[in-house]
Amino acid sequence: MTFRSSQDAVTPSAGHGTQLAWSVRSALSVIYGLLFAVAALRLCVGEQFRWPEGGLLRAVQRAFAGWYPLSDAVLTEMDIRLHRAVLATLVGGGLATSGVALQALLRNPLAEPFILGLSTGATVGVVALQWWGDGAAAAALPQHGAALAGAAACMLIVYAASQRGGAIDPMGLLLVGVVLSTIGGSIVMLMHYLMADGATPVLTRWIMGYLNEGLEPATVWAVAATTVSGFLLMLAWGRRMDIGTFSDAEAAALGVDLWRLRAAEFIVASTLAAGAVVLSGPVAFVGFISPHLARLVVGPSHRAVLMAAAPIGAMLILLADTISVLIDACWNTGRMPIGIFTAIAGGVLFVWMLRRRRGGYAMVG
Amino acid sequence: MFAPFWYFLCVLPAVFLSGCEPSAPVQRAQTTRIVSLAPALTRMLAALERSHLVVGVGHNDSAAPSDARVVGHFMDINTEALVALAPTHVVGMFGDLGGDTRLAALAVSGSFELVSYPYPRSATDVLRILQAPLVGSSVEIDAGPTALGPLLGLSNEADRLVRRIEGQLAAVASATRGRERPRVLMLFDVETLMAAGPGEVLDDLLTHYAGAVNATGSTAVRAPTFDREKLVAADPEVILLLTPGRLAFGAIAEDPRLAVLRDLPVAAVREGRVRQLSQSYILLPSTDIARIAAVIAEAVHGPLPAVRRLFPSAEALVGTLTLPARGAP
Repeated sequence: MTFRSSQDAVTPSAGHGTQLAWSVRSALSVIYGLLFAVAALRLCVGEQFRWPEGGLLRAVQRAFAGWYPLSDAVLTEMDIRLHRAVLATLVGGGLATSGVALQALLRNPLAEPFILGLSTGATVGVVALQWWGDGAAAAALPQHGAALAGAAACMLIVYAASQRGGAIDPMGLLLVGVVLSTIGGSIVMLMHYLMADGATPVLTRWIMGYLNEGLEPATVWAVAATTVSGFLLMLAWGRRMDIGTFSDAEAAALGVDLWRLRAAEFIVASTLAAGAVVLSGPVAFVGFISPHLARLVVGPSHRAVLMAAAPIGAMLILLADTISVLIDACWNTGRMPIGIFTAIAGGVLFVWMLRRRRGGYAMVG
Repeated sequence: MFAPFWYFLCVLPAVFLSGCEPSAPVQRAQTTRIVSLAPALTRMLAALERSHLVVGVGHNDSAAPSDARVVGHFMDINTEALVALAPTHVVGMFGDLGGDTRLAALAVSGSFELVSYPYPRSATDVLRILQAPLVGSSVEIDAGPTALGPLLGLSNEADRLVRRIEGQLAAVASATRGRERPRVLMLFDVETLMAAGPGEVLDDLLTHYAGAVNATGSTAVRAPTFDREKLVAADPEVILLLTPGRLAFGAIAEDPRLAVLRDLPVAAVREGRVRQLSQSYILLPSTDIARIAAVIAEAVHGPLPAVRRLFPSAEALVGTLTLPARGAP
């Protein structure tokens, strides 16, 4: 198994049909099987390694009846772990899908929500809301809206500032993203500084990336709905995304409205990154690792990459959460932030890929 | 093309001059002028009735006199503003971080006396900062003038204050002695469930004076983070939300900020023993430690007449709010 060329990483060959090849379908079966295995592992890992009490079917029924308020029964172990597994899946799947959309939109395999400042922008939105609203604004949708506004603003700035002669400069894009991420981080630090001292340690930990179990059901459902819708939209437009990696003239000749495609990719990438931030705070590199791991396994077709990247992203977050619980069980450290594990793994992979493929990330189109 | 050369020539004297000693040493003020970089120390100075000596404070200091100048955060001090105040003493709690090197350099040059206290880990440590000759402390403060009382020539006043606080602490401990010791979890917030663990002043006050057991158990870190599953495993009988100055929470079923606690199979939630402590001093390891112990003791055990007699003023223990599972119908 080898990396395909960097050109292939974002520019699939035109020979792919609408049906996925048998090998790709087999690979996807394995990936989804692994996702279920990792999810089952996560459900089993806690203070003791065993299948949680409470019944899976009942937990699912409870989830669909509303996570908390519609039932008088107390939460079972299964309710709590399943809720956490669902949060992890939404965060990982959302970030991975956002990463695929960004890489297609910007034609740059290094693009991902965290590097381009989307996650930081969404964080600025959420923290600003808490700063002004004393946490009461954590009610439901406004938090998602604030995160989305922050992410979209960052995305617009990155997109506009990295244009050179009507085309996107890949290196400029990364630099603008990094700078914007730094500015966003500074704004968060400013609000952090101006907050009452008692609130700052908690905020500091939230920024490290924790699955947020304290959200209202409406918020979780809103993020779930947007994440699944965004994923399905990208999946439906997978073929157009393939063509969108050709030159503008070629894409237009093949009947793809590039403006609409890019607008859709932009909206989906921003919305999904914002949703992930609402559920977990900023989590780095999942949107970068997942598409690349997916391409390793299923090749460059965007439909296949999307179908593989989302479960891979979900697995990464589930594994990070499992590791956090295991470390706590072994060394009594408390629950460590998942963002630490994803940043270490993703950062190493990012540097390795940069060095391995240096000079290979030429603009396409 | 010669521009860099001219820049270099212009900058060179500044580089040399920056390494020189100041031409005239900073004049030390004759009267005592204190910059306090820790709110807990500012409260101690207020308790010693020396607030009028405080000319500068750190960021977010609730005990600061109204005319004191803010000279930055304790981790990022505005040295220029601090020096302009011409302090005779700069006191702070730098803890494990160690002192600020610029301040240390100024102190060595004789600008002022810098006294850096380690962050206290117990009530005894707090009292030792006030008046050194106490035993059993984990804080290594040299005996003698570095403690706050002797430092300001207020040994007798500090001694009286320490004895009073010790007496109050002993009274709180006595009021809770013999009672059942419930498992208590002290959370700093509910956004991220960060708890006060062992090795903190709050843990000492809870376990040695307020008659309870810390539900965090022994942990590898001083402020462990919980998720809901870990919270269920700990099964605290009382949950205290330590949120100084924050708006009051509502019923658990209705307040969106408390969604994390809803329907949890935890004794504290089930039995309506989740309490918010929003007193401004609740997180400050200072002269209010006995009052903090009293507030925690009452939050855990309910009203204690012996404790009420210690703090007779009506507002002394106000600020505790019980959060019911559901609001009134």
